[in-house]
Parts: sequence; structure tokens; C-alpha cells
Amino acid sequence: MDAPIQVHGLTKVYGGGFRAVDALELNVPRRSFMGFLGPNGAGKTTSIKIITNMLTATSGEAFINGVSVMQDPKTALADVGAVVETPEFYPYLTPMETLQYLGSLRGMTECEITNRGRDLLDMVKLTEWKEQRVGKFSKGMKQRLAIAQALLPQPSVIILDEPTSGLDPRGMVEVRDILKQLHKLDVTVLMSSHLLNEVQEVCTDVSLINRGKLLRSGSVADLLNEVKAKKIEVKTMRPLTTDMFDRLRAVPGVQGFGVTGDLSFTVEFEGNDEAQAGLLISLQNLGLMVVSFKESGLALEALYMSLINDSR
Amino acid sequence: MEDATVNNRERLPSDLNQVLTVAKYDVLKHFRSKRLLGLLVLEGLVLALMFALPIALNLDTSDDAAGYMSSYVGWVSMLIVIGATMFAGDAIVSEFQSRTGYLLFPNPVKREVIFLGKYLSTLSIISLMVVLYYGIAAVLTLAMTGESTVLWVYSMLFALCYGAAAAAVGFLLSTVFKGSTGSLVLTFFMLLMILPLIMAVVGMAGYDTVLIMSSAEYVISGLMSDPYVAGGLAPDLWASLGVLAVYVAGSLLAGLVLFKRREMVS
Repeated sequence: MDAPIQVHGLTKVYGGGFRAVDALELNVPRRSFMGFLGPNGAGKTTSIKIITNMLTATSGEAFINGVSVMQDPKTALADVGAVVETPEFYPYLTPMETLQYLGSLRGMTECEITNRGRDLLDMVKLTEWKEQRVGKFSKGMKQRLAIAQALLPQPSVIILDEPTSGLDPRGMVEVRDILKQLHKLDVTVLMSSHLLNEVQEVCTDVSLINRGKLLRSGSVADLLNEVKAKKIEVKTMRPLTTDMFDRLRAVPGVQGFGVTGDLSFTVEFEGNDEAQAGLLISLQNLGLMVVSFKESGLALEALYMSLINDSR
Repeated sequence: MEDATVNNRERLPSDLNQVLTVAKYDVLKHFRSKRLLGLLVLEGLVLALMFALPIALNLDTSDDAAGYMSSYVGWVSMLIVIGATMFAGDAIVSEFQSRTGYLLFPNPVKREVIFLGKYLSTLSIISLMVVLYYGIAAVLTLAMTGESTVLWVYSMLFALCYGAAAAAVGFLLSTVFKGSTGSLVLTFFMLLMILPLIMAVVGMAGYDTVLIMSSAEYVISGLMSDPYVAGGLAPDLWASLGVLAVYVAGSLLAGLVLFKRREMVS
């Protein structure tokens, strides 16, 4: 069992017959940062809750480092740090006391918790709040503290359930910066998300699920290679007028385009870097006065949408 | 941030150590809560009124230590009911309702460890409350009568057993309800009204009331007499103690089964 997280035939049927997870198969390779991607209601959170022993599976098994979560949850979760949904903290404890509590439950010494807790609170930018009770913290601060507590025991497996969900843009950036730092550690990460750009930004691998079933799994790079068409966002000084449409369609590699504003449009394009450079020249030759020309990070979106649509 | 290799499995503490950790931090919650402060204020108020009112109104009080202290002991069961409601009534449901379970449950801790740790904490707080009340009442008794009696210690020990049973019932109800309010209200009314009402009806029908937990309240007061005399609504001492033990074991077992089966759903 080399994959630290393995899920076999996991099924969860709620009362009323709703099948939230349907014979899910999942392997998270060692040292990978796997995005667990799917639309709302796809079964991501339910799967993660079963893996972290908060829900009981109807059938199937989940293993962490070779130990069944169903048979021996205490041992299975010993080397796991998790942030599931947005946890609430005990409002009467300070961040450091919270870490002391959770660290003690894992057998860490007080000295170890204090030293590591100090480093982690510094990492998640909560040092100046370490003596304040958590009750008055904002959602973003709580989410950062949640990540700190997940990292506290130096686990080899980290499970994150939509860690940026519900945060304001600043909070999302702060949490993503922390997530990127996880790449430096010798850890395996499973992170659920429905934000494609987030997954593309921080994950090395991705598993796509819908209706509780795995649709596709692999490295982000491999999956992106499957998507030949790119989406290119263009902003111009002059508008793209109807008389230019045919000339744009005739540019090699252009599959289609859509006007998104008076001075902006997107081009679906298929071709190598040289062909893409040719597109830019063609756009300038149309007299559009291109201000910006960038590949949209939504290549994954195309694959995602096609897989989701196929699974309906 | 360094990345040292640690063996998190090997250093996991025993279940007993984890029970004590959960209890320690739960006690801290009570110490920092307004509930404990409020209950201590209430306790102080009862003691102050029981002490000062007879003096202010020039009422005759017993010169006998046991007789004088009985008036204080009469309020103990009410304080236990309030204590059990406040500290046990939402002990488990709050983890689900306030979503702190999302923080605690993914840790390598068994549900039974969390349950027992919280129960131990509640028991500690109720015991503290009861011992404090009896202690102050004993000092006031000594001050007013110039003597003391060992009977209050027996009464206190039995009151602690009643507190354990009341807390266990509160824990059971706390695992059943989806919201704290319902759990708190039902715990309070169960201990204050429903069980006493059943006891009264059972007693009127001529049956022995010992099986109803509330009958233990009569033992708490009755133990201030020497010897303790069973009769009327006052049950046999040892039978009542046995019944309380059954309430503790039964409620905790049922509560634990429900807690283990309960799922953390949004």
C-alpha cells in the first residue's frame, strides 16, 4: 500500500436513499498535492468526512497509511492533520491553548507544542493574536488557525475540505499562500475544492468526481495536456467589430471566440506557442491595439465541464 | 518551518490519558463560563438568605447542628438539578450544533474518550459546587450552634451520587437532541418536574418509589437524621444508592451508543 490515502468502493447512502458517494475509488500518491474536484453536491465533503471518521460509510473502505479508518480510526488518524468544512473553535481558548489541547491529545509534549505552535502561528500570521480568545476571531483567522492545528503534529497526511470556502478575497489569498508552502514539506495532501483556478494553482494532481463517482484522476499536467484547446483572454483599445469576425475566424488555430465586453473578448485557440504568437500578430494587424493577451487558467475547466456533462 | 520526521502513531497517549486531557480542557471551559459564576452566585444567595433571614426576622432556629443544617440541605437537590442542566444538558449536542466537532472529531480520539472526558469534567464541577455548598453550610452551622455533626458528610456523599446520576441523565438527553435549547429545557424539566411527577403518582398508587431517581432527594435530606428512617417517599438508603448507580450506568451507556452513532452532518 504505497498510496497514503486509499479509498475502495466507498459508498454512502443517506436516509431516503440519496447516494452521496457511489463506489468511489481513490488513490492519493505519496507526496502529491491532490485536488479533489467536483461541483457542489458531488460527494467531496461526504467522502472526506468518512475518511476522517465523522461519517459512517454504508459500504467500502478507506485506508490511511495502510490502516483502515473504519476498523481502527485512532491509529489511522494518528498521522493525519485535517480541516473539514470551516471548524468552529472553543471560544474560551486562545490559539495557543487550542494547540495545547489538540497537541496533548496526540501525545505531544508541552514544550514541543509551544515551540511548534509559535512557528505555526507565525506562519499563519496569528502571532499577535496568540493570547486572545478565539471567540472573537474572523472566519479567515479561524481558517488560518484551523490549518495551523492540522500541521501541528507534523502529520504525513493532510486533508483539507474547501479551505478557502467562504473567505473574502484577501482571506483566500492568505490561505492559498499557506497552502503553497505545504509543497516544501514531506506531506501528502488531499484538498477538496470546486474552484478550478485554485486547484490548478496549488495542486500537483487532481481527481474529478461527480455524483459520488470518480470521473478521472491523474497529474494536473497530464490532464491539461488532454485539453488541446486553450482559452485566451484579450483586452484591446479598439472594439472587435462584426466586420472583423471572419478575418479572426480565418486565423490558424482559432476554434471560436466570444465577446465579453466592449473592449474584451476570448478566443478558443488550438496550437503551439508559435501559432499563439501568430494569433497575437494577427490581432494587432486587425488594428485592435491589444492591451493584454493572456492564456486563461481555465484549461482545466474545459476538461471538467466535458467530464461533468458526460457523466450526467 | 522545519520538517522533522516524527512517529505520530507511537506517541499517541492511552485512552485514559486522553480522557483526562478532554476533562481538563472541559473543566477550563466551565471555569471560564458565566454559567459557573451564575451558579456560584445563586449558591451564595441561598446560603446568605438561609443564614440571614431567620436572624433578621427573629425566627427560632434549631440549637442542634443536624437540625440547623437540615434547612440548608433541603436546597441541595435543587442546586444539583440546576447544575446538571447547565453543565450536562448541552455537553454533547454543543459539539454538533456549534460545529466544534469539526475540530475535535478528526483527531485520533475515540468518541467514548470524548464522552467520558466530558462527563468527568461535569462531575467535577457539580462535585465542586456541592462540596462548596456543604462546606460553607457546615461552617455557618458551627458558627450558629457551636457544634458540628458528621451527618452532613453522609448527606453530601449521597448528594454527590445523585449529582452523578442527574448529570448522566443530562448527558443522555444531550446526545438525543439536535439543538442545545431543547436539550437544556428537557433536562431541567425532566429532573425538576417529570421525574418527581411520576414519583408522586407512583407513590399515590401505593407502589415503592425507589426506582424513580427523584426519590433520592428524600435520602439527601433524610440522612441529616440519625438514624436514617425509610418510609413514605423516602426510600431505603442502599436500594436508592443502587438505583442511582443503575441510572448512571444505563444513561451513560445509552448516551455513549447514541454519541458513537451520531454523524457530523451540516
